[in-house]
Amino acid sequence: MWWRRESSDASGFLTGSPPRRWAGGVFIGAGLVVLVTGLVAILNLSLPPRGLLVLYLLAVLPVAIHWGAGPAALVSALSVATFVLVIAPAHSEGPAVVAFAVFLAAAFVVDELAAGLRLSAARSRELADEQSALRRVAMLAARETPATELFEAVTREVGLLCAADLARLGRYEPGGTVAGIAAWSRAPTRLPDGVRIAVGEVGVAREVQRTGGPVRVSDVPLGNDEIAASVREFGLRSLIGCPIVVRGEPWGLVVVAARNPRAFPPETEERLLRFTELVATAVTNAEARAELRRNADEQAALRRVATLAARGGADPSPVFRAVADQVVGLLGADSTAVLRFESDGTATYLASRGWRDAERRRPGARWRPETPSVIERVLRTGRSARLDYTGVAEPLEPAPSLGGEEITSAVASPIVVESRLWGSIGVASRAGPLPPDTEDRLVAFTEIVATAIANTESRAQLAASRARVIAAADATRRRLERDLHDGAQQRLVSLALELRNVEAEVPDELPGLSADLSRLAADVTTVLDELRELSRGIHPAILSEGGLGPALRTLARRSPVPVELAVRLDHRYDEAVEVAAYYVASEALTNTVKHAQATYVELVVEERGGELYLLVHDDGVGGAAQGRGTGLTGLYDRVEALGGTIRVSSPADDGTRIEVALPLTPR
Amino acid sequence: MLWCNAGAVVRRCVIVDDNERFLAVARSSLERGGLEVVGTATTTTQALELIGALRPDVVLVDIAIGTESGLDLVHRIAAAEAGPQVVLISTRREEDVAELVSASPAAGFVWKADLSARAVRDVVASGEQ
Repeated sequence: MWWRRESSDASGFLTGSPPRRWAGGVFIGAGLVVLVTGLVAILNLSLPPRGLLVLYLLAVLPVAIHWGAGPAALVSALSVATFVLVIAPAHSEGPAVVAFAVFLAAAFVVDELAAGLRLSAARSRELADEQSALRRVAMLAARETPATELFEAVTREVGLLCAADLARLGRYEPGGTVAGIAAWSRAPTRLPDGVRIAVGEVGVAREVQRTGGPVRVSDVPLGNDEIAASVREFGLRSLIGCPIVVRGEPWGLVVVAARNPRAFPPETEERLLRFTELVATAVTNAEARAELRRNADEQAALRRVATLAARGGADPSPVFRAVADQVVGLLGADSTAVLRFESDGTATYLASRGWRDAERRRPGARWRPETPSVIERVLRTGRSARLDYTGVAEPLEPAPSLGGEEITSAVASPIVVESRLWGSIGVASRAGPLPPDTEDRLVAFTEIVATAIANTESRAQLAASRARVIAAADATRRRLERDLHDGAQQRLVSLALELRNVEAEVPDELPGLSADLSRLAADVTTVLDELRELSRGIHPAILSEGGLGPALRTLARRSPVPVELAVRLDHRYDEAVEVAAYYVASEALTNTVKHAQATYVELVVEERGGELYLLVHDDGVGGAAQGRGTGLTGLYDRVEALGGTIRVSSPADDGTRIEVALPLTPR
Repeated sequence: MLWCNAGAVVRRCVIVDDNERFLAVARSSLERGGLEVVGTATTTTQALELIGALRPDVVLVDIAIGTESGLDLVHRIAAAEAGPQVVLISTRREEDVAELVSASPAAGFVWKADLSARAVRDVVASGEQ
């Protein structure tokens, strides 16, 4: 399109100073008049001269298009004068005047048309520039460019597009300040960045926040803040601020400024708004993404902690430590503590992270919750509590235990185990208030801790009740054995002895009676042997009387499969432990004899690092498996009830190896 | 054991057992065999007093004296200077208590149903070899 290029070339002249524009137009116009005059002179040889006057439009119109109506008027006058003086016959002044008037009219009309074209060309160029700038910003936003890079790009694009001298992007902060997060300036200079500026001192930012819409200022207020300082440095005269509205609230603003008091055409606000909308979308997206990521992180952390809690053994303290680790990272807190409430009104630290005075909060340390403190509130109300020490209408004085911690905000939630208030998890921040959803997110963790504790407690209760059941059964068997021993056996023994005494008294003349008595005594001995077998199965008396060593030696001596025995014990142990160890050894030996086809058994029992260690190892066929109807299930029950561990390895054709460790409390 | 040399005749004996009926039966059985039962005790304390006062040649001790351990008593008798010989007795069979007997300073063991003066003398004799 010729006019576009032309107009862009001409814009240099148009924007130049008027004398230069006139001179250029008139100079080129004069040249064109000379050329047209030459053409007319040639054509005049064969055509009537009057009709040729119209050819001078060839000189007038380009000048009108390029340099405007003024120079074109001069060229019109020049054309008509030249025609009259050089070409035209005498007495043609009348038509010449008419022609001049026509030329002038054409010059003005063409000038108007050209100006319109130039304007729409410029508009369309600006629009194209704006569209491509918006597209660039949108692409950055879509590519999840880091926020600072995106904001820098926005200020640069906006500054260039609005022909501003300075563009800034700021974010409103709680507490009535605005933080500059990106800036661009036409002149290369370092602008203060990331500085918190009181909104109250910057009219534009304050007005934008107040009205929620764009604000234009032509008389810049001069204050002592950073923007005012840069305003003075740059000599800026006009300013426009546009809000970045995220979820209906002013999130931040974009400010453009220029030295020229009339730099910004009326549509600038609209144009800025298109950018701030894009920024708002990007911010919303980024926040949604961050929220999503945070949620994913939180889910992962909760899963880790929950797994730990589910797997947990007798000791839930790894869960407390894991919770403390995860809570700090996920809730954006600076420090945390997991506490258990004691019946005397104190609280015990179970785990803590991020405190300057860590010694005061070491695991096991006691603390009486002070007023005010979030923990004290949780203890008093049984509900989540929050305390903000700064940035609120009536700031609180932190309790003495927070001295030197510079805590600005604290939140705590209760740990409720089976509807009783068991403890609390607290988090604290040193940088402003904790987010409003902290309480809710903390609850997810307190629930896991509560489950872990409930699990541990029920597991401990279960183990204890299992141990009690087994101990009760053992006691019953021991009593049965003792009753048999003290009652029936004792009487039968006395009876047998008495029968022998009577037999000795029988006179020799009664051999039949003597033989009867002897047979009776033998019968009583047989009954005694049967009773002995019975009572041995009920409870090994030697275990209570002699302890594990003699009991195992007796067991080994009676075993049909040779036993290589190593007993390394120097004292007696808790009866439950002795019975369990004896039971394991006895069951294992019985299994070996019955199923293993072994040629020997190795039996080791020794004290090892606070545990009673027992090994039964045979060289038999192996393949013993739990739940195959062997006595192995009973072994697991006994050992686990005492909080011990049992490992059975019985590969086919490679013997059976049973290892048991029982926690010890020396007697 | 100065006054109880090898080959010395085992004549006087004390029985420690908490079962009165057995004490009576055992007394008649032993005395028939020429072993004088100079005293019987049903507790550890009583037994130690008797032994100190009567100085028997041999003491028969039940492995379980009620709730007290006969083995503890054996250790205490053996710890005293110039103490008597000790023979453990029990309603349990020897193979069930062999570990306890061999680990104790007693001369040996007699099953209660087999108790006789001769069995006691045999054990004492074998213990002295």
